[in-house]
Amino acid sequence: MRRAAAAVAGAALALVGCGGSGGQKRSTGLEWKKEPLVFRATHLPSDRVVIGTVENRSKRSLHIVAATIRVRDAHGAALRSDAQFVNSYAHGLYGAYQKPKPLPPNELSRLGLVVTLPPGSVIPLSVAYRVTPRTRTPLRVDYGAGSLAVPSRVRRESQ
Amino acid sequence: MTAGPRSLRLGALVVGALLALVLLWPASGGAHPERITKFPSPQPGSVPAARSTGPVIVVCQRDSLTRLKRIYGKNRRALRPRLQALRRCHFRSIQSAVNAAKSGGRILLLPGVYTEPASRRVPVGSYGQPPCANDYVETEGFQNTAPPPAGPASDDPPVRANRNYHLKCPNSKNLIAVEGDPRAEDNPLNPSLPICMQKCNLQISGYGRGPGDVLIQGDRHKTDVLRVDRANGIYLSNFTIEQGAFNDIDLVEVDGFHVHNIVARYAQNYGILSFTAVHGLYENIEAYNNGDSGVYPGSNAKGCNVDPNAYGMCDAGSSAADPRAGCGPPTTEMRNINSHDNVLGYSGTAGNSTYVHDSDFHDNNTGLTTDSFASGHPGMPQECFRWEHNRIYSNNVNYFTAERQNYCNSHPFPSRPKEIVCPQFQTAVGTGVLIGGGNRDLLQHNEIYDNWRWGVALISVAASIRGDNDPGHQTDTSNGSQFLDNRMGIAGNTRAPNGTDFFWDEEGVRNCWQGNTSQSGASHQSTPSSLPGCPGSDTFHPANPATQSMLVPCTAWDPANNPRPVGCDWFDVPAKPS
Repeated sequence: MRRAAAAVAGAALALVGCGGSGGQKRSTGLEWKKEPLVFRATHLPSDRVVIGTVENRSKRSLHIVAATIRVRDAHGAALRSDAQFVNSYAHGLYGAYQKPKPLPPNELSRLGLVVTLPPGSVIPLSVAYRVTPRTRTPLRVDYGAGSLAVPSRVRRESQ
Repeated sequence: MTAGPRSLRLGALVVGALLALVLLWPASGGAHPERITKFPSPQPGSVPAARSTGPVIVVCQRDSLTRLKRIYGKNRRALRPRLQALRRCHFRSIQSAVNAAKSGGRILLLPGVYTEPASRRVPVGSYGQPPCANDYVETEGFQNTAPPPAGPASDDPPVRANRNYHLKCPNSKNLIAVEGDPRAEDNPLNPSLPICMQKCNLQISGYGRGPGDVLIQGDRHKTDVLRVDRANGIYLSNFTIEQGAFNDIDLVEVDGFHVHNIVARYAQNYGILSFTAVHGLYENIEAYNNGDSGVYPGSNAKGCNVDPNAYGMCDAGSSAADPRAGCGPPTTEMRNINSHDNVLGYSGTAGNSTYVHDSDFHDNNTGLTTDSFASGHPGMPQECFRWEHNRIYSNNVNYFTAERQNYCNSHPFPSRPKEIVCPQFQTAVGTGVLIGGGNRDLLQHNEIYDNWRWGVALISVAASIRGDNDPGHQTDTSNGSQFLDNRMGIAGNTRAPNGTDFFWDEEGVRNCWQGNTSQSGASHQSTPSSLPGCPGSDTFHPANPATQSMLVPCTAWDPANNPRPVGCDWFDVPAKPS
């Protein structure tokens, strides 16, 4: 399912012409609006959460499926990651065993699972990821058409 | 509509055989079944009281006499009127009695198990399939080219049976339906304002010693066991109801209802749910083993003078000194509720103006939650509850274990043992009260203890989460709530600490905590470590990212493909605080 979603998302990105890898090049996609914050989960010591706001600084709309977003380490290894374009906890309209298939667009958008970002639009982004002893920094959030740097400073969550 | 006892007995053999077939009927996955609703407006109703007058219809089962003798023995005083009622019994089906009843009537259920075989024979149906194949509304659209997110899904499109469906095929998705408004909807996407034209002020009561003597049993396929739709003034009492594929009791667009002395259990979602309703009373209720919540006063009417079917808040006249000045009276009351061993003891999206008191919420995953999370719930954002003198304790049961989630994924609701609870929504295990985007709520004089994560949590919810993208509404939750004079971390005279008495994400204005006493211990009192006293601050603060980071990852929960989201620890029972 996730692979299929990734393939479709990739195709969607290609369709709207949002290629490029981000980084040092002229912006072709998302950039942090300001430096995001990274937190270490209090009771899950290998888990981190990066919270911030991103802006589409390209000249085209970006269509992004959150399930395809991965945090990658310095070697390009994908870490286990979960991303959504929200900044507060939310849950769906449908019960876990009562979801329509596919989920309606409004539901996908509302929960930050699938977003279409016009040029200049700003949206919250939260990405949780799990590090392992083999994880090498720096890390980046790979959203398919580009990537976003993950700050190295890790803070503690509230207790 | 009536049949004599002999014909009932003959029919029972045929019905029994058919029932066996029905029980083997394949499960029909259901999209969110709540049709598009509106609040009654105006709302002239009131909470109905039990009546001893009005025409009576008696319903019984073949073994009612045996049960009566067993229950009452030589208590002739109690037995005699029931034997008289039995002699007047012409119905074996509650639905048949409802069909025969007129406004103001009383339906007495003699002891027995009510399975409603005739209703069970009506197919549940699905979109495009009979019965009533075309009476659905497409509320969220089909033009969806995006791939679905990972997770289990039914094969149903995002549709809901509309009001015409329930009128034309009342027993397709409801074991028992009480329809108060027979008018067809010209445009189900924009339904008429609710009114009651028939079956108003009905009373359906078990006529046994207590709720255990009358059992209304769902078939685990039909959405509602008992649906009350626009039948104002309904009084339900003295029975047990169970195994709804969504709700055991569903009260929709009702002005005036009273549910009394009822046990509601084993529903896939809700034991008792009221929705776009007003003037309600839940009283002497036990609710347990429900997959969402035991009791749910969702989309509950606001007590202030705003258009109930438009965006509006009860903030007129509110001030720093009294942020609740505009709340008005409660519109639904709950008292003497014992809700336990559910995922949530109480929940209420847009659960406005509820008055919950002198009740127990215990041994759930979370005791009570109210929120502004979901779209499609009139009355947003949530505000103005008053919860007081309740005991909220030991909500540390965990239905999110890996073993349970694996089981739930592989066993659809109809095939599960009735006692097995599968969580429909995620929640923070070990929590007494979770307020997700509430305003002007008042939590006072409660005993809140032995909840190993949070005693009480207050978090903000952006309006976009409920599908409201108006820029002016985005910070319209988590303002003006008060937490006063609660006893935290002590059970009677015994210390029983919460993990953290009060958790707040720090967003909003005029939220305040005052007069609470705690035995939880210095390290367990609050996050953040200092909370504002009343009247709170008038300066808006956004949520602290250090608390958001504990919450947001849990959004990704999905029992099939992501049962343990990265960064989310809600699904482990926290260590018992010392």
